[in-house]
Amino acid sequence: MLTLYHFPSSVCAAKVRLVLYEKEVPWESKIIEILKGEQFQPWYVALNPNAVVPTLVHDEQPVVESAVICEYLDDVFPDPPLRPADLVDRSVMRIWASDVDTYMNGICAGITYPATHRHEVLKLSPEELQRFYDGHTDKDKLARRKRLIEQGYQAPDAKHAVLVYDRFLTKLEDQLAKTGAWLAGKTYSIADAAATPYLVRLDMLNYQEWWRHSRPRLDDWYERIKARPSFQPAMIDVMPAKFMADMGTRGSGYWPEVREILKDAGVW
Amino acid sequence: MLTLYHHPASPSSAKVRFVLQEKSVAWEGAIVDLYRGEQFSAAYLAINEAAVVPTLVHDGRPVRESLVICEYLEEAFPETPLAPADLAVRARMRVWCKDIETFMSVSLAGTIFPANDRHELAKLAPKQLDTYFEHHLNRRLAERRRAWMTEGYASPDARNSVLTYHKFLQKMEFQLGRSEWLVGNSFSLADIETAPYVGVLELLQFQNWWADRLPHVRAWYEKIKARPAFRSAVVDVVPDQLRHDIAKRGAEAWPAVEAIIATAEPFNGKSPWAMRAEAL
Repeated sequence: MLTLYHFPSSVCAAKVRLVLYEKEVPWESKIIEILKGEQFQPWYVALNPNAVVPTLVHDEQPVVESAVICEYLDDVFPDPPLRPADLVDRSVMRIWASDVDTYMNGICAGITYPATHRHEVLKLSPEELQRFYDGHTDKDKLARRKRLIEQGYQAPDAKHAVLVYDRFLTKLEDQLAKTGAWLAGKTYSIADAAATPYLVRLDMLNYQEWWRHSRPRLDDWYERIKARPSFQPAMIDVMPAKFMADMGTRGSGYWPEVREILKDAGVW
Repeated sequence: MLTLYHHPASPSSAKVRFVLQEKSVAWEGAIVDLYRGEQFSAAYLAINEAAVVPTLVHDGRPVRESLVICEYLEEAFPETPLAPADLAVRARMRVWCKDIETFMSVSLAGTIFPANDRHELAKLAPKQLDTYFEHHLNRRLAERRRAWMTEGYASPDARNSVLTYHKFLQKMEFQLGRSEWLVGNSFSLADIETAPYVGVLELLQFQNWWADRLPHVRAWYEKIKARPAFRSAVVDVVPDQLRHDIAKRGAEAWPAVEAIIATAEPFNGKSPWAMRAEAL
């Protein structure tokens, strides 16, 4: 029995859903409302002491850390394999899967919060907002988040996030030029699943011009990703329709501001 | 044919050597002199664009990142398995290894640089030193290192590094009170990945960090030291002169480090770290 505790728009959770659908294993979905602070409830913290999504529970055993969960699923359900058979390619896959977590997870919040999540959080009542802030154990993270909520894309953290995101897109483009197919070689792997939510995020925000402007290989890769049967259920069907619509509308309004940041930095 | 580009005193190099020795795989070593900036040479950047050690080159193909190299070796040389057969335990092992990267690896530089590396770099001519810093791809790390050169442990950043390192040692203590090895009851990559971070403290003569404070860590480290692979991969590989220099500098630095440790918050079963260990 597999249960995934997740949230529709969490990039780390999305990568695990992609792996589950790629493997076509049945699983039970439990949504943790991270924008309402549900991840801080004691029963959830007992499962996942970092108070983050996702958590996979397999036959009552919790497995945490999205990159570890993906490898676990490939260990337990080896067919179809989502790690390259060539071991050097596999090492490349692991570096990509881990770099995405390390460098891009916080950055993704930096481009999303100013456009959308910020407006969701600002809808909370003063008591709910306080509870949301109080739930954060990491003071630096809380301070960053407050700046994003209060200043939007004009927050220094947001501008930094936009530029790091741009370098990430270039890195993806360069890697695809090297392999000619998928991120870690000739076959689709966990590395591709790990990177997918970051493109979906831009897609949902209506920032498609960001990669289409100058990154043809990445555009082609993303089209191939979207054509896979795992894409629709893992990335789209799970999102509440209103959330998707709000994200698209709000994002469209912000794209000129994001493009200005890129132009100011001389990378557009 | 296996070649490891490494440095004798680098814990991330030591982990890979430890795995190679545990598996009794034949390998050739190529030392990258980090104190002279050899990691920034064009030849090295061609196999490791991040300019860090170690890099393993197997039949001409480079493999990077110590943790990834260890998993690579585990799969390429499956005899003498170092990953638990139970897949859920293997997942816990991977979480532990990821935590080392997240917490220990990043706080290592700030913990040992003010004691040792800065004295090595101080031997460079001012112009060479400027070149060394200019070569850093990571500007922030370069700035931090400059601060450690001049301020030593008085730099707030070095202080935070020591406290993070200490917290991880406390987490080990907590975990080792519950299982024989760091993850479960058999020796695994989790122990291998962690051991060099304690080994480097011993090189610096910082044993008092755990000798009285952390009895489970002490007992675990004794078991680690009894392994012949650890001795050859982590201990014997350090040249005598370097060992002597590091020990001398470390002994001088220890009071400053101990003063920082004394300010650490107590670690109890309610801290998120302990809860995490508990859940595992």
